[in-house]
Amino acid sequence: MLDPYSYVAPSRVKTLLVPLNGLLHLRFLQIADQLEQFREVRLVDVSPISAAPTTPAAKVAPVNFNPQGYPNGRVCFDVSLTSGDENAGTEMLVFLHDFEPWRKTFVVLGCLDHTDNLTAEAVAAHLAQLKRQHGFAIVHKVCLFNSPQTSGLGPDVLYVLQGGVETVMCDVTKHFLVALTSYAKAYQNITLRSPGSMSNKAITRSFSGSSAIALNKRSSIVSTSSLNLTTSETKRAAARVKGRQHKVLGNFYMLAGRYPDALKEFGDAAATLKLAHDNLWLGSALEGIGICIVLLTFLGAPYGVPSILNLILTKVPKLLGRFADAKEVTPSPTNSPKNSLSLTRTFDSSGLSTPELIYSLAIKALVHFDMSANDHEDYVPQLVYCETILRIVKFMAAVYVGGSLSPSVLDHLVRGGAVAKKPDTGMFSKRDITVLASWVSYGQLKDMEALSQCRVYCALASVYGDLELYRKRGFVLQLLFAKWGASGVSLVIQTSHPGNRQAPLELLSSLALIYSIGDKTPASFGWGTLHKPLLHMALATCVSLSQPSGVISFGSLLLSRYLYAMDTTEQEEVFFLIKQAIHELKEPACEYWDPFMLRNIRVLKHATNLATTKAPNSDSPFYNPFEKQESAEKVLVQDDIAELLITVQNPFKFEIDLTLVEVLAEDPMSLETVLSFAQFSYAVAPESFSDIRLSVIPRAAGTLRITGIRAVVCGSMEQVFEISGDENVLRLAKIKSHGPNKSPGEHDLSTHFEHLKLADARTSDDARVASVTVVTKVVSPQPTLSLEDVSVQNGWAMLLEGERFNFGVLFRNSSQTPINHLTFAARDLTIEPLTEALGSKDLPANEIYEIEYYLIKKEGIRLRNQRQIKQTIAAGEEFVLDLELIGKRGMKEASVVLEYAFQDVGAFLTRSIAVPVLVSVYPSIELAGCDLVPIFVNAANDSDLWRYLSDREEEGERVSDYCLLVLDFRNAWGKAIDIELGNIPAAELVSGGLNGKLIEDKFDEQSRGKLVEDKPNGMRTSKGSSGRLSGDGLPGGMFLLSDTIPPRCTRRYILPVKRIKFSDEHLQQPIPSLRNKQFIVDKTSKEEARFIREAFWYRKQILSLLQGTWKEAESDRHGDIELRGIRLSQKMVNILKVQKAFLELTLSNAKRTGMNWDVVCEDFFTVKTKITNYNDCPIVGVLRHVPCSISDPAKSVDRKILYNGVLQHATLSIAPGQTVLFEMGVCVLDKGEYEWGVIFEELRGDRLVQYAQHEPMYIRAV
Amino acid sequence: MSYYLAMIGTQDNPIYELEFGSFRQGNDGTSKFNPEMKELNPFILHAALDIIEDVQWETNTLYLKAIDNFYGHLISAYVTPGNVKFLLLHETKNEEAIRHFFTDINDLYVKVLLSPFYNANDPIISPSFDVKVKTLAKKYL
Repeated sequence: MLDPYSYVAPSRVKTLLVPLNGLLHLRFLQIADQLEQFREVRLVDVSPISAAPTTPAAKVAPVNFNPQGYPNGRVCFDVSLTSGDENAGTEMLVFLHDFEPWRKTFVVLGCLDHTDNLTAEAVAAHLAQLKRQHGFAIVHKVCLFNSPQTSGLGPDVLYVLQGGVETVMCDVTKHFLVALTSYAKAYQNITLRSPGSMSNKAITRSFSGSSAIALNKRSSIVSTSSLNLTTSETKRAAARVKGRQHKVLGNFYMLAGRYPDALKEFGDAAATLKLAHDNLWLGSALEGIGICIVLLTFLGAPYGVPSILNLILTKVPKLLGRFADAKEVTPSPTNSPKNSLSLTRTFDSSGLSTPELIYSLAIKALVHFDMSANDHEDYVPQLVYCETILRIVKFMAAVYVGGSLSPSVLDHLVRGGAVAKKPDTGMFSKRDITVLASWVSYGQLKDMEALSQCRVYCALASVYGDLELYRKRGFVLQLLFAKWGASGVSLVIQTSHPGNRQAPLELLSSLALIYSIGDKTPASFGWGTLHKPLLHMALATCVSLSQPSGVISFGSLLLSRYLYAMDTTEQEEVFFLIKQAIHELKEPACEYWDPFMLRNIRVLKHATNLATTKAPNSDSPFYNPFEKQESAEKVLVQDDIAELLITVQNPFKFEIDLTLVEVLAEDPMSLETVLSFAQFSYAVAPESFSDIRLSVIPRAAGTLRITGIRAVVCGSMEQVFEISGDENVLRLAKIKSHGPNKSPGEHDLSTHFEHLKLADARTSDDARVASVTVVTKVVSPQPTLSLEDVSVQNGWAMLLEGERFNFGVLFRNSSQTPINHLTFAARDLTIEPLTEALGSKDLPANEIYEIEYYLIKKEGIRLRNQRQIKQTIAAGEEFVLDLELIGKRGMKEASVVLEYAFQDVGAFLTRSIAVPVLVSVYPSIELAGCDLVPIFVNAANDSDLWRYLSDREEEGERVSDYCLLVLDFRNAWGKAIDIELGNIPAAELVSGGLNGKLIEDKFDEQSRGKLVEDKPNGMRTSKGSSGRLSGDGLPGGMFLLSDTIPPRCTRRYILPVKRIKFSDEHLQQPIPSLRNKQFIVDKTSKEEARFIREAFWYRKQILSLLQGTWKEAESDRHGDIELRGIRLSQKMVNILKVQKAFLELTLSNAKRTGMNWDVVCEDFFTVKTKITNYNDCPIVGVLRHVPCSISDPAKSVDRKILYNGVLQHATLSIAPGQTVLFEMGVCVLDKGEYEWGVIFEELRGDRLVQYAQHEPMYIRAV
Repeated sequence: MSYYLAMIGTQDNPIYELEFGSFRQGNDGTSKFNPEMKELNPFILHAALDIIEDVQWETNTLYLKAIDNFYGHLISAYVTPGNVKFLLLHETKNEEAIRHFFTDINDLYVKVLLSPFYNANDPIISPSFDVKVKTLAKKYL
């Protein structure tokens, strides 16, 4: 099919081919091809037609289309396989057949192949059917191909022999000319009416505002050029009829190939119609003249330009659009090359070249068409106007491309051949052409029928394409697709060529290219207002064409690039369309539209449970707080399951589903993905990030580089997603560029779809987003310990305070690697509150020590069989940890943490396993109160206590060397509890020396070993409150008492404690810190600090002397009594300590009973004061005697006691260990009881140290 | 009267877009394009780039006047020496006012270019530029 908007299209005879007798499709196309090759028939080849008898009555000259009339002429058949206007539902175009007869389909050819059973009747039936269906045609013939016979089937059958197609076409031409003669004759006797008056449909051509102004302007031009002819109305009407007939006849001549006759007829028509002011038909006639000139030029025949043109072509508008005032682009006739063809021009006055003449004619025709718009009857139909413009525009474009009206251009115009491109020679400028083309849009193009509009757009697009105005072409195509989508015109796709189905898709993608959509360049990110509607349109087009691949491409583009401009509904709709398309395609063939889906991959630390241990030799002796910790590094273990956290994004407003396939590493062998079931599916909520946990197994030690994942998203193709890092800022190059980025001519569909594949934006140098690789270290296989069994029921133990509880834990080395490094750590949950308490800065040092003691010395859980555990635990070996839980107040949970490793050389990695045991601790025996009471005299009672003291006296000690410790114990438990309390023998205390720590350690050992484990039997037998002495098998000097405390009762116990003698140096030691804390700020006063310090040391000593255990009466529960509640006051300290200067008073001449001395009044006796210095240095001081009356304290003692000398006198220096005796004569005058006190005062530095006598002395005077 | 202004970079990328209306004759400065036209506006201007590239070599002035039209809408163009194109879609012919409008916008654009934080061909997102363009539109159109 030839170009319907070619300039010479009105000279072509429309021919329709119809397949008959079940002709196969491909064969039909083959036949059509054969016929098309010979569509141009020279008249010289056509056999002459016998002249028709002329009727004398006819006023006009007889019409004769005898080919002999102009043998040079040609008849050109426009072979079409689809029916034209008549059948395409465009009935309204039929009314144009009178005005432009060439629109009619004149010839209908039925094609069929010869078959043996083909009879004349069958052929006749086919022919009848042809005539019925295509009654509008004037020639109906049947072409029989491959027929062995050449006659016998009827008059209307043409037999096509091998190679005889040309002959057949000549025959067709002959039949056509004959038929045309009679057809034309019919026109001779009718009055031709304009199409406007024949159609009742509104096809008026109105102008929009601006063009109306232009029209007025143009009308004024024309009016000045019009001839001042005065003709009457009737004369004008007659001329109109005559002129119109000339014009139609001209058209017929042109169809019949008799171009000179046609030119003459058109010339006559123009002259007549000019007189008649019939603008519409005049315009048409002018165009006819132009076509004839082109055809004659093509044939190389001379022609004479009708003289009327001299009148009409005056004041032809310049070669520039009517709206552009600039006159710069007028092609000057001197520049334009003269036509190379021989051409005789009688038209000298204008001096125009053929193209310019054609242009002028066309412009003039359009001017007249415009003028006709004011006529209510003879106005120009919009379609005619548009097509006229398109024809001249096509002509100009061809001339522009070819450089001049060269033979190649003429061939293109007439035969549709290719034009040889020549450089721009300025015959027409692009601007001229575009301005003229834009006239198309002036009229109400929108009001035209959709099919016609589409055709116009197609023609315009092809012109712009020829002119390389690709943006313009894109715009027109966009309008075309929009029109098409809006009107729902079904696009007839010739399925004969598989490529045709792709054609609209191809066009759409070329359109996308023009608008740089889906490009790599940053320009493609910008123009959302332009790109988005275009993509929506493309998407809709693909949907209506059911092109799933197109739907996916454009939908993906929309979603990936213009998300910001889309609301929820739009996004969901596009997503739905894509999903549908994927479903239609059956196999996933598209990539997911968000290549940056994978945002991060993290290695979860706890998954590996490894900690780095430094090589021991690298330890610096100095602590460097600025040294960086290397603990941040996460390490995976070969062949061990590791967990990854994969972060994916979903920027869309719909949910996406994701099926993970595998995690990718640089070395594919180094990583194995563990998918718990065949495929791992996950839904990511709209507009969110989502973390997915996934297990992997590293298969090689060394460095693991994780690059991304392979996944299937939303049913798309299995695809690799790299980890997206930061976005790169892309800059447009600051360069001047010209023209669209690429011309569609060079564009290849495949490369375009390459660009649609967004992923390749990442591999190129100017990638949008940097890819990230997650690097982790993988170490060689490490051992794994597994917990096999714990002997604690349910992992929960109930303990009384101080109770000990043994249990075992069974471990197994479940890996293939031996363990040669094992460390044990026990912790309980009291650590945190204690540590917190230590943080308080207001605590005095002794309290801090107490907390530290609980924190460090008193552990809640202990390993008992540390020595039994082997150095190396082989693969698969089992071992048991024997553990002891100790009931500690406030403990809720205790755990044992084992750190183990396979230590090679240097640094190694440890793993830890924790065995937590939940504990409930209830109070058992509580210390309710304590006090110290001094004793001086043995009461010689029969109780254990006094017996014990008596024993001591027998050993040469004084009773006053001891004091009594009073302890109140409360049984807070619900059952009776046996207790046992004891003290350490004095001998051990003395031998322990001043090193309290040693004693303590020793005691610890004892209390844990001996007392509890060796003596349960002894405890059990002792009932009631009874003390035991060393003689009962206890170590020498040890006092032990046992009792049973009923539930919720408090009992008081008295223990003898030997007074403690500490040297000054010992007491001046600062309170130690168990945590090795270097400096403690002491805010207390000096005196207070001294007391705290002394009290600390004495208390520490007492605690080391005491031991107590308890045992529940009815069960096996047993434990230690918590004695650390003992607190010493100043008074208690004074009672406890042994004076450094020993003062002993005795009376001579007196009888002593206990602490009382009996004297006789007015008798003389001597008070002897013995001072022994136990200090390390000599002492010098004042000795004071303080006698006082007990019976009558108010009275001065001076009247009652006489003494010889002074009551106070200074002593000389007493050396260490030296004993000095002072004597003083005394006489008691009055009867009564007196107390005689003695104080030795020493001024040591600025401190006054006082020593009192060891035992008080009471004097009874009788 | 409605206008649509677009500044197009060297790679057919828009660097500034504005749709506005006239303040003359009692209008309130908002554009009155119908929705269909509104959607077509960028397409029309984009298509006009072809004509600009044809015309810009035939004149030594920066202002190219009305170079294209579509359905009665005219497109005026201005090409900066850096080949950035200013396009204005308008309904009536108003050559001189548009010339002044374009010249002043070019001044504004040069000032934007002088900014060290602006790269050629980047979209202009400065609100003060926007305000100034609107002031110019009010002044001339």
